[in-house]
Amino acid sequence: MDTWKVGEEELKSRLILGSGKFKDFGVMREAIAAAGAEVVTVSVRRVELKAPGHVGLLEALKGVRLLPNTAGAKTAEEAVRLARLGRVLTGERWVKLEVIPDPTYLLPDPLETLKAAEILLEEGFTVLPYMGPDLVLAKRLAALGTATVMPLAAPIGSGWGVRTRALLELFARERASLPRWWWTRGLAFPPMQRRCWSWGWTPSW
Amino acid sequence: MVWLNGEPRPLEGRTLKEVLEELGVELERVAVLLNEEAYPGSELPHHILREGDVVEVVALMQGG
Repeated sequence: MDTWKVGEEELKSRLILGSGKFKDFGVMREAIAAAGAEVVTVSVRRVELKAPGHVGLLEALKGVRLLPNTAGAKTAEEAVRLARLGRVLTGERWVKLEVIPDPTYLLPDPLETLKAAEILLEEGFTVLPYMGPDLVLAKRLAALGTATVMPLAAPIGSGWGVRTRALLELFARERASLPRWWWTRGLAFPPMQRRCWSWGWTPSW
Repeated sequence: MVWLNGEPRPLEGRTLKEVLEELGVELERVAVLLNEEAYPGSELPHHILREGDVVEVVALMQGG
């Protein structure tokens, strides 16, 4: 069986799914099963204390590995806090690091991402940072010891497909000197996914 | 005042666990940040809330 590794974690499926935007848990479960995804990302959010109802997300995601993310963090400090809470909630040591100060285009902050990665690596996390398609930053993150780099293909939620191809080509050329990488975001539909595979790239979103 | 999920509340002198249970929080499903220290909801320290304590109660949600 063909497998790949993220840090110490050996995985079979190359598809990592988000858990957001599904109509309901039933559709989410069906999508995860149909995709054969082993890993699903989840966020860490404040509980609504006025009506702390039972949500049932953990039951709906039974049988898949959870990858907590730091969605909602605008600074390194907030990301580190969310990562620690995600570790407590899932028992997992890995974290999809997202530091996004800009609510319009949802672009990641490179400096805060680097800072957060450094702190989390010191605390023993396996760090999977989301980032712009910046090879210099990717190498800086790699030098710190992140398990992956995750350059964006287009702005989050844009559905524009791969718009950063030229810069991603540099990642492909430098593959040997980078950690495992995948790219993400803005990929609207299956034909785009197939095109990525035809380039030898593995998409995730 | 105690800051609970961003809101000031007069909870001094009560225990953290008692307050969360009273609010109907399912402790086994949450994590709690007490003054920057993260705990599983089911393993809360015995802590009597004091003026200026900052408490965040979080859970896993869809997203990402």
